[in-house]
Amino acid sequence: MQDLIVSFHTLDGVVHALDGVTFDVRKGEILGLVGETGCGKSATGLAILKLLPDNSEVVKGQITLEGDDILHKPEDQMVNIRGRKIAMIFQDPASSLNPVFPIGRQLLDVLKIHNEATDENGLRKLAHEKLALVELPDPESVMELYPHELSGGMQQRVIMAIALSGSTMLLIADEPTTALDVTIQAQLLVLLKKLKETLGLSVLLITHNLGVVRELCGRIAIMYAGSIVESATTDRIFKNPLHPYTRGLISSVVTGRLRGTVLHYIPGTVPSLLHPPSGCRFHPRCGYAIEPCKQSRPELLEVEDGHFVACYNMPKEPWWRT
Amino acid sequence: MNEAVSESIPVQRQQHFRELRVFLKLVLKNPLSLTGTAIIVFFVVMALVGPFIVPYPRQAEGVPDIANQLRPPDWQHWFGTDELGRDLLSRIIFGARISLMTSATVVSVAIILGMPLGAVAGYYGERLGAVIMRVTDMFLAFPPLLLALVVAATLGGSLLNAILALIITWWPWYTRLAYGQAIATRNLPFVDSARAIGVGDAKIIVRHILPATLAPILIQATLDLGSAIIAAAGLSFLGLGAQPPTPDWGLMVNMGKTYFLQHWWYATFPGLAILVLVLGFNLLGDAIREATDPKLSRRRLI
Amino acid sequence: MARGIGQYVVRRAAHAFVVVLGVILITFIVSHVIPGNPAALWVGAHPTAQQIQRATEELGLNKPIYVQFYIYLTSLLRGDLGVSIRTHDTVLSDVATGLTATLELIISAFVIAVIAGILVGVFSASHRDRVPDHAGRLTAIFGVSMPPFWLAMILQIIFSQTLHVFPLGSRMSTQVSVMYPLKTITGFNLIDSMLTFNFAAFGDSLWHLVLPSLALAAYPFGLTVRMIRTMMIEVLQENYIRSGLAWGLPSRLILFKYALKNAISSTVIALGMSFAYTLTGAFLDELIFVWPGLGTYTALSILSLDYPAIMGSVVVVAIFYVIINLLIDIFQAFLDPRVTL
Repeated sequence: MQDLIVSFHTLDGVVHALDGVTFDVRKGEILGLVGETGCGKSATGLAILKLLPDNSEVVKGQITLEGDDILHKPEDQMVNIRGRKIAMIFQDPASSLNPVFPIGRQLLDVLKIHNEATDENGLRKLAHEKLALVELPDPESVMELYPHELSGGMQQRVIMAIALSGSTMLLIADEPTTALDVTIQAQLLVLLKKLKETLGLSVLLITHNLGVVRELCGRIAIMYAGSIVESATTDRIFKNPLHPYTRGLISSVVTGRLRGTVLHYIPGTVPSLLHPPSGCRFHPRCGYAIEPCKQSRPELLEVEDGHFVACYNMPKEPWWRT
Repeated sequence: MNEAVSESIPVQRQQHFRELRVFLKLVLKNPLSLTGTAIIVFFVVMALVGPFIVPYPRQAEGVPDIANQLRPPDWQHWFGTDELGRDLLSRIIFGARISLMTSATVVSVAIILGMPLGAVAGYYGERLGAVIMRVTDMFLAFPPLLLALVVAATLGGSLLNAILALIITWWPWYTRLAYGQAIATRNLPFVDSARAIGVGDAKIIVRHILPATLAPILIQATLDLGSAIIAAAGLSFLGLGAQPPTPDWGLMVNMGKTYFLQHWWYATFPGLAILVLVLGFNLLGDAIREATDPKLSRRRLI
Repeated sequence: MARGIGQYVVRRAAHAFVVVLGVILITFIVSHVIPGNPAALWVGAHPTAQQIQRATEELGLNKPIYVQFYIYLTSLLRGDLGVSIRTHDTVLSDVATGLTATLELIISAFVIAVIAGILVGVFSASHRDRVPDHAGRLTAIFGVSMPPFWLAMILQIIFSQTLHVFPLGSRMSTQVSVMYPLKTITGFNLIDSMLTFNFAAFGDSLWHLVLPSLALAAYPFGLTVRMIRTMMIEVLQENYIRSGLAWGLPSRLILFKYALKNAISSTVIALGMSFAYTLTGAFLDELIFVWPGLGTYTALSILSLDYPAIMGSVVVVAIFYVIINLLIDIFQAFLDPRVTL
């Protein structure tokens, strides 16, 4: 994705949701897109598959899949990409499945679309395979069940199975575990990692949870108020965060080692995207803001090898946390 | 504590105004609701002003003019004349008043009866509420006009009796509507806190429950104003409503039934009047309903 | 899963039963407030005081009200609806003949209304707030605003009188019923003529059904379009629709299979209610098309204050209505299993 700018036209005015988002996902890697609620990360995921609501407008930018421009593809061609090359799963598994159809029906319907040549029996076998892939026991009986008869974790597994029905290259996972218990969350993350290794699947993991990202992702992109402010390998980000926001974010994570110290937080609140601040959108809350920060938005520049930051005035103090 | 409360009230009012503005914007933007409002306004004006500008006022009230019996529409009688030679246009204009008044009466009395009943039933729940709702259900089990037919027939045919019959038929709908809302409101935490402070039941019902039930009832009322007109016309059509020589639209269609195969205008125009007025109410009501339904937000993907 | 539905059905049936009892009670009360002397009506024109006295005793009218009610209830359970004061036939037979005729009319109207309504509703919802949507909504509102008796008359004028395409009324033309007499098995002309291979009668009955059904279909059509459209719009916003799209399902499939099934479940309730309106509309239509159905019978009974007939037909219609609602509740449970929880 290159410099994507997306706005929403609402009754209250124009919401500048994405203001120049740039990142890339490499083959077989899990990229973590991290940011707080409302920073536009979900919209980013939706934009890739052109699933944005009707009142949205893509002002400019580029999205390419292996060199193929998909931003400007017409709808009938997009249908070929969705679920086939790029798939997406969402946050609340219970509401992401159609409540009046049994799981099997939903899975088979999608399989049929992506594997037109296969017959009824072949599709059933394929369905069982997919369910086994996500480690669901007893596929026969699971397929008869209705979504509301499954637990949250199982629902999300089913959704993953359905999403991976085609020969998926990229899976966009929009906060897939946020609505689930921590233990289930751990299981699903392990599953994701396994899928990456066995299928060579690339994953765009959208989340606000730094812990998850550290576990799973090879690279991380930090997003704030509509644009990427820093991106690098996981190691680098945690060892040497450069953007003030990233530093603030990581410092805010509470661990046992902080016992007895004052809790750190970033002052202020996330800006409204209806009337975003001028220049760098973080500058009102930034302890390192200087004049240019108020004037224009800093570009995402490669500061070290593979480490990109968008900031005019990066803190010079070395990073003390591990 | 007092300051906090008195501060929040102007804020609340501001919020209400803002909601109102957004609501009006949505309703007026829609060409359908605009047309509906226009129609209603037109008929109301006609009802008010009509008697003064009507071409044949005395005929409208029933004075016959046999010489001009059953004339097709022409320049002197835009809608033609009936079997007693009376100008249909004038009678239709007069009829507007009757129709509007009838449906307004029916709907408002039904609300006055039904809404408090439903609110009380919902608030007290358990036994009192269950009893009230059982009775309401029984009334609701009747196919709507059937009850009205029976009552009107029992009481005899007249406009007043028709109105009475319709009120008896209509009140249970509002009771059920109010009941549903009352139950939802009753469970909200602020009702409990009001009780805890010691606010009496009656006051809670009047100040909190009733206003909450108002919104869906008003929407329903707009639509019901139209339905009541059709229902009243249906009764008149069967002879159970207004009696001749009253220029009631349903009655005119009924009279026209005998002649209309040869004289199409007689039944057509009064019926058309009914259609257009009811259309107006339905257009407006439908648009309001869509604008206020919280579930119909703006996300659209297909 | 079947157990959940079973319990639900029992609950609804019990509720329906209580409601029916109440309906009978209410009707009884209302119709016994009738001024006028049913006994006099029974005897006919110019009754003498003696005849009236005898009739009163015969009809049991001199007993106190609650006794009369008890008698009525018990005879109801036996299937005895009394004897019509006007026609002097048993109410049961009168109602039976009328019922099938009316049902035939209502069912054909409903079928037309629902099919057309779903198509227009889905179409409208998928083009929300654009021109096709406004057109669809306008049609729906027209349907709902139409005074049924007026529409019937207009159809008669246009298609019968002027264009001579369809007949003016009745269920069959006298010509056909004489030349190809129809044996009454179920009371439904269309079914009976098929069963007896009487194709002339079939065609003729169908031909006679068209106008009345169309006139009657307007209201449920409008209601269906409105309900389907609202429900579809609601459903189309749900997350699972978005998931479906994200998995690559084409929009045609999503609209007609995934979204519709969810939408229909709630529409079914509205359809039940519209059935009631259709019933009353049927009464008015029957008068205009001279359709020998329950509506005509009931209207005539009411107008002549024939109270056993009134009771009988109202009770039958009400019971019918309650049963239909019960069936709709059950049907809904099948469509959307979550209802039973």
